[in-house]
Amino acid sequence: MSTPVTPQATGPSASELVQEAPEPLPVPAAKAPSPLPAQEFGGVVAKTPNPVNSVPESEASSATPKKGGATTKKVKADPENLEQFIEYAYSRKGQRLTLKPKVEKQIAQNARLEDEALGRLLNLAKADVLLAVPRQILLLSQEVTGLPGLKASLTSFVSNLMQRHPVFGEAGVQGALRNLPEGLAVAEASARVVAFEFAPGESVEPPKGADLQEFRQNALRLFVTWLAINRGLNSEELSSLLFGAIWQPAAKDLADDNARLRALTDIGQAAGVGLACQRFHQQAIEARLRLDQAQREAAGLRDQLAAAESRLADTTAQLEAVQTALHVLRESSAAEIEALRRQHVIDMTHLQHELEQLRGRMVKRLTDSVEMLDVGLSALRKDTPRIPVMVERAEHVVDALRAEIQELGEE
Amino acid sequence: MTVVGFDFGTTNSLASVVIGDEVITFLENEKPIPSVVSFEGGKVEVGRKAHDKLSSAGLGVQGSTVRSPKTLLGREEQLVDGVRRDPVKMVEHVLDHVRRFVLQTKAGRDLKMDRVVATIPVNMEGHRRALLRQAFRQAGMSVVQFVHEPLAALYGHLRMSEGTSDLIRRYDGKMLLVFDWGGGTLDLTLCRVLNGLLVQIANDGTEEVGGDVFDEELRNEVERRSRAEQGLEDDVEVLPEARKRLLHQCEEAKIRLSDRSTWNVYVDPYYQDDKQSDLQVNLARDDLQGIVGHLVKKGVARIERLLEREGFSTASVELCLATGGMVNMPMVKDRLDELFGPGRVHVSKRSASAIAEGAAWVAHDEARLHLAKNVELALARNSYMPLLQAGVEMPIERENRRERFDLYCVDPTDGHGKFSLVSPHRPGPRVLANDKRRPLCNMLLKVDGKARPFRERLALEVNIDENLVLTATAWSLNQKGQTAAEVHDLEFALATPGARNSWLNSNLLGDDGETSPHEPGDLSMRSNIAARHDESLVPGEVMASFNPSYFWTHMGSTPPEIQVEERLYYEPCAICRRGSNDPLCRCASMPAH
Repeated sequence: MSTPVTPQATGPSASELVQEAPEPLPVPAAKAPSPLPAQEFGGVVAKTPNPVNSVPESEASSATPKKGGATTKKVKADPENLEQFIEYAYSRKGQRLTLKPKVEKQIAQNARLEDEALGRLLNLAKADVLLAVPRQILLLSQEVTGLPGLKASLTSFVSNLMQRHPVFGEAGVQGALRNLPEGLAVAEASARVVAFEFAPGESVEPPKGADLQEFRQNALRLFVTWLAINRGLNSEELSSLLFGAIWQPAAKDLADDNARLRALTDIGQAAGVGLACQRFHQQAIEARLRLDQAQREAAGLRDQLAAAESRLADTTAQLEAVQTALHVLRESSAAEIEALRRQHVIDMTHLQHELEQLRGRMVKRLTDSVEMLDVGLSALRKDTPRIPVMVERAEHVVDALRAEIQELGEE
Repeated sequence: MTVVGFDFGTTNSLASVVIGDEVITFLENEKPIPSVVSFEGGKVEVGRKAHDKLSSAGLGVQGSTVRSPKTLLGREEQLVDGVRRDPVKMVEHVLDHVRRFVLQTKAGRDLKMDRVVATIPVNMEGHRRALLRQAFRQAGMSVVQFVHEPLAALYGHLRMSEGTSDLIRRYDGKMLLVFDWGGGTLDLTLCRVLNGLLVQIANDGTEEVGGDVFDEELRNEVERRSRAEQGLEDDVEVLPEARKRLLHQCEEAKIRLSDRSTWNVYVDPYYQDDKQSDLQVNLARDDLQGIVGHLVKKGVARIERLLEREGFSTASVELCLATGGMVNMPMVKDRLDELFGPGRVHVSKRSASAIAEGAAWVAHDEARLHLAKNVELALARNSYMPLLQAGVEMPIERENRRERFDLYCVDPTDGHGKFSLVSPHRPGPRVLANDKRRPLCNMLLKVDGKARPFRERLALEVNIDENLVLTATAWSLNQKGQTAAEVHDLEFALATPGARNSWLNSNLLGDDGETSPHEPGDLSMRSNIAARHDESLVPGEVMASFNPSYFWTHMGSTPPEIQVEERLYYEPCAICRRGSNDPLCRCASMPAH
């Protein structure tokens, strides 16, 4: 078993990369500089089978060797160190890279990139206008097993490259790449990458038209590949990002049914499409399941709501009935109180009146009696007393007072 | 808001109010407040104090004291002790005194005493009603409704009797007599209960036999007997104020002899002689009967006269409701019992306050006055158009009942439309064309004399105001003539408690009968007014002048015979131009040439 080697031992770590503050990667002066001929390495033309296997990729169309290229390929020596291998990779212009175990081991022995070599390689990378190669290197690095130093060096190189390239130059995007707190969310960072515009006044002319579009797509692919490898971006998220940023806009550009038919039937990389579709299908199934579950839950909640509303209505009705009864009770009690109050006032008035009547009657009776007795007395005081006058008046007063006493007794 | 019943009587005044289905009457030491006002310089005394200054019976002015100022209403001013005084102001003094008295009692202190149902005599016409309302207003009270005194007394009696509705059913269609014999006047009102309404049929009244006249008569006789017993000539003067005291003693004797067989009338001193002699006369009940019996007979005789005048007998009277202070005299009660039988005479225990209490019940029940008899317009050819139907509710305070009618003139040739408002003698809306009618007012309206019959439109508006005065106003729309007349003596009915007036559902004018609808001696006017376009209503001669072809029978026209006769009678002779009834016209007897 090979001793595991940490990436820090074989190449610069992410934090080291930040501390180094590398110079930004200059924008390539021209598209497709073709620094090296196809299948050529160090001036030696290698015959097939090449120690470094190459698989054409439809996605990297600009980096795909032209048809009608050399049918007889020069035999080329196997790369002995990492620099050579990366040079070789750039010569592939984005085609898939593979390493034979033997070569792999050889490169692993010289997997460290010196600063000069790194500078050279970064200059070489400038020629990769469409940014098609770094993703292949990154993917290859994941296929390296048991050689952590090589793997780390490959990853480190790509990291270096990405930190210097202006498409990832925005702080938020860089933060997302390096998993910094100030980094943008993956979706936002991806959107920035896809929408990237070269700043005016660059010394080199940026790609235009379809090349610019392809550059952006490659940048995004590199970005999401990096995230998938280093930040555990799962395939669903990856598919979703690619769908939103590349596939869907591309599909929108299809003008008519024929163009759509053509696009569908031109799909070469069935595995990728299959994988994406499988993911989407799986997502759809899961979404469907979630929808069903949500609908079941919604139905349950609706039932609960209906039951609750029914209970609420019953309670409200009961409350209203109670309130009405209370209102009626209050009104009736208020009316009773008011009636009692009125009756009390009436009774009081009548009692007062009766008292006044009684008083009036007494005053009248007494006044009459006094008048009678006055007259009677004056009759008695005469020289010839008028006794009958006094007698009948006295009788009358006595009778009247007796009658009054009897009346008072009866009252 | 409580409305008070206010009896502003000729002799006494008092107020009553119904509180909690029981009536309270505000009496001053068990006595009503005398309707007397006295002026002493700038001081005005009202009620008992003013009454004590009276030294003789009779209504009106006595020196500086005015008894029953109500009877003076309608005069511009009244000379009282050399000072010109406004009768309305005098009435106001009495009303204000009663109001203040009520408000100072414990039972009445919570009353506002600002709205009253006021009682009025049956014969109080509209102008005096308006003045009385003004006096009430000046005293701080508004009259919600007037109600006639006998109607109020009857209403109160029915309301306070047990089984009111049964009683009303029992009396339905029967005659009821209200016999109100007070200190100043005797008022008789014959009523009938018709469909739940108390309707006045006839009324009579006199001041000749008021209670005060009894007292005065008794005083004169007592003094005469005293002088005779003491041998004093007529030239022996009586001490000042002694006659007043004797009057008071006579009133006392009148009351005492109700339950005693004898009573000594005694005033000391009385005569202005050397000894300042006293007056002592022993009176027996028979003496009293002998002295004032003729007055009782005179008073009760008015009942018989009234019934005779109206064509009824005493047997037709179902109830005689006796109110007023005088009905407590046994002599009066006995006489009434003789006349009607004891079962039909009801002497109110609270006879002095019966009217006020009735008014209080009217106020409490919000009972309304209704028109007792139709008000009709006489139309051409002796038909009648009801302007206001009997049973119509009369307006109360701040209300008016107004009706407007569009009419035509069937004979405008003399330039006048002749409006005659009449009222049938029969109460209720069910009257016949030949029922006797009483003219209410006549109006002459200037119309276009050159217009054809039915061409110019006329309008008539009748309005009854809160004082129950009917004002009729007529206009001619083209000639722009206008005339108006007032009727002050409409007759009214009072709804009994819980009554539903079914009069308005009764049939109206019938059209049968041939007898004259007018009483002998009535001033009547031949109406030339019509309410519909009907050429048969136009006099024949007028029709002939405007439309000769109307009489061309050979052309198929069929004019009514009356119009043909009118034309022949009123058209001058075609030959000699003499009138058709001129005996000098012999044209028709001339031999044909």
